[in-house]
Amino acid sequence: MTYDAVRAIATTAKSGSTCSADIAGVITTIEVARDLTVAAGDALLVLKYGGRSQWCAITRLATAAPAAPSDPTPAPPQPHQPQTGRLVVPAFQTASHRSSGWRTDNDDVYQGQFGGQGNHAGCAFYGTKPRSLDGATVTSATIRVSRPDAGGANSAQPTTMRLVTQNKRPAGAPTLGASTSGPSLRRGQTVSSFAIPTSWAQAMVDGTAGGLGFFVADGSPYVILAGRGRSSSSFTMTIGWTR
Amino acid sequence: MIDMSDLAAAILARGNQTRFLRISSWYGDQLVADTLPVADATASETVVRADTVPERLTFQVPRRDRGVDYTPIGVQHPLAANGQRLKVELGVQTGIRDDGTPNVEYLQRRWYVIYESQPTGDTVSVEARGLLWLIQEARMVSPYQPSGTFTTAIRGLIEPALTVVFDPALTDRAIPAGINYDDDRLGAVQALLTAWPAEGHVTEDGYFSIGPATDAAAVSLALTAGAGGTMIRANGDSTRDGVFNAVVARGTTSDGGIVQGVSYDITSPAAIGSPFNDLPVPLFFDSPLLTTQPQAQAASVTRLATLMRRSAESYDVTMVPHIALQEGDRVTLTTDLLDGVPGIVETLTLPLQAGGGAQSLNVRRLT
Repeated sequence: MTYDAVRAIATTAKSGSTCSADIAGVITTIEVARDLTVAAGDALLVLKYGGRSQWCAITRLATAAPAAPSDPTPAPPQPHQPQTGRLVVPAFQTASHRSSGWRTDNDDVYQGQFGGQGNHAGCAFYGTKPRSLDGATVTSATIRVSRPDAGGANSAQPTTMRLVTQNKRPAGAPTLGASTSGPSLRRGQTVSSFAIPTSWAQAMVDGTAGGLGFFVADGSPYVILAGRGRSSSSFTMTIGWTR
Repeated sequence: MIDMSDLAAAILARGNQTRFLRISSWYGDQLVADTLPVADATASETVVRADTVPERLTFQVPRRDRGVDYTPIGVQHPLAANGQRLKVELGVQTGIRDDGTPNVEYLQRRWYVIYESQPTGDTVSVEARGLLWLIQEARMVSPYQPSGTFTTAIRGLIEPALTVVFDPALTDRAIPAGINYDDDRLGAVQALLTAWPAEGHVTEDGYFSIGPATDAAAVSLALTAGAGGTMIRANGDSTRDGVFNAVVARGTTSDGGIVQGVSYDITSPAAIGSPFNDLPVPLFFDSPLLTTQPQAQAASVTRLATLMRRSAESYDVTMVPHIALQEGDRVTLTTDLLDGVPGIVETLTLPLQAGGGAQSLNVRRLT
């Protein structure tokens, strides 16, 4: 669809240097030639200029304003209607920290301690992608979590989830914030949609937080959750949003 | 360069490595296939930075694998082209786990949307495009009149298909009244970026990142001819077509006056006064988004820099695949004729499988 010179119907009188006009069914703000007087209902000849992205009315057509059509043009979709969406955010990194530092033998997310080897704080970091929703309101947030057939008791074990400040693995220990109950999984179980507080996802969108952690101060229960190395979708977060 | 651990970086720098590929398929926010059984050695990613949708992915899977039929029948089938998105990850082995399996560090390479899947014989061939395809194909049903600022206008054009991160170094400003874009959604985004001036690309995480239109400053990789089988040779393409050595950007002030910014190429092989042409060879562009002379000048400078990429010397590189190298990365080139010359990766072809052969790059020399 390319316009050069087309007919339009003014929908408002000229005010300042512009008026509104119906161009091919779309009410558009257009420039009006300086010496041209425009009243609502006038038929106009409009030209495109300014890199083909601005309209200008250059003259009025016909001897008088034409009668309004009996069937008005249906209103087009509004370009600025409230936007909503669901953003899939895979974990950027997964890693576990204990007193001796970050584990380098794998990238699973550990909670608790086993055999006096140090209490873990397992983390999933989400990088910068949540920030692409800057200014949006989070309406829901879920994560996908798997527990491999390894580590800890076979039965479902409770976890404690923490909000983490950093959005990627820091050199030292992660900064753990707010706390809530995490998924309780048996070995080999996957939960595809575990709800996390929307305020946590909102904090990631706003840039004041960047990840999720799993930590129990007394080191029990000991649980291993699958990191990115085991599964592509581990800790993938889905954020529902509106703007 | 895709972010990775120091250990993975060191392994990639050595050249000999055990690599892994993982492609998962998503339909909306649902995981519909965790790992597609990509087995062909020809699977590859091709990126041409100058294209409107730069990224393209091709691979084949067996028609049946471990009891799963990969013929794309059904709305939510992992290979159907109903909006299915593919997450491509490439991994490098960094060690051995306690259970004896490889410990692999996966880098998220890119997100794609499936363009088509064609069953032929015992295989299904899949072609996927970069996420900007979602914007390019979504031409506007009715003309779009942006209002507010550059950031709100761009978000209005591409969300919710793609989300955007704006570099804080950019200064947002108001859009003049009366701007109107017909039907080319991606063209409208490019017009806004050119006038801002700014540049955008889809990141490996799958969002649109917009920042100042400048070349990367930090060197990601040093390429030396002969080292690890790397070959570097000058690209012989040469044309006057589409080569300009001046840019004139024109805009309109709020009171109807005309503003103009002009930039001249005085350094490249096509510079004014060089044998290319003693006279300026200008490109003109008009934008009502330019309302002051500094804005017009900034836009002309950026547009000229973009145009100069076309006329710059470039080199073709063949090398052992580097799974973290991306288009737009800064590299250095060393041969018997080049001594650590800086350049920018403009195109790349990356085999996804270990048996897929060498990676190829086109590197634009920085002047």
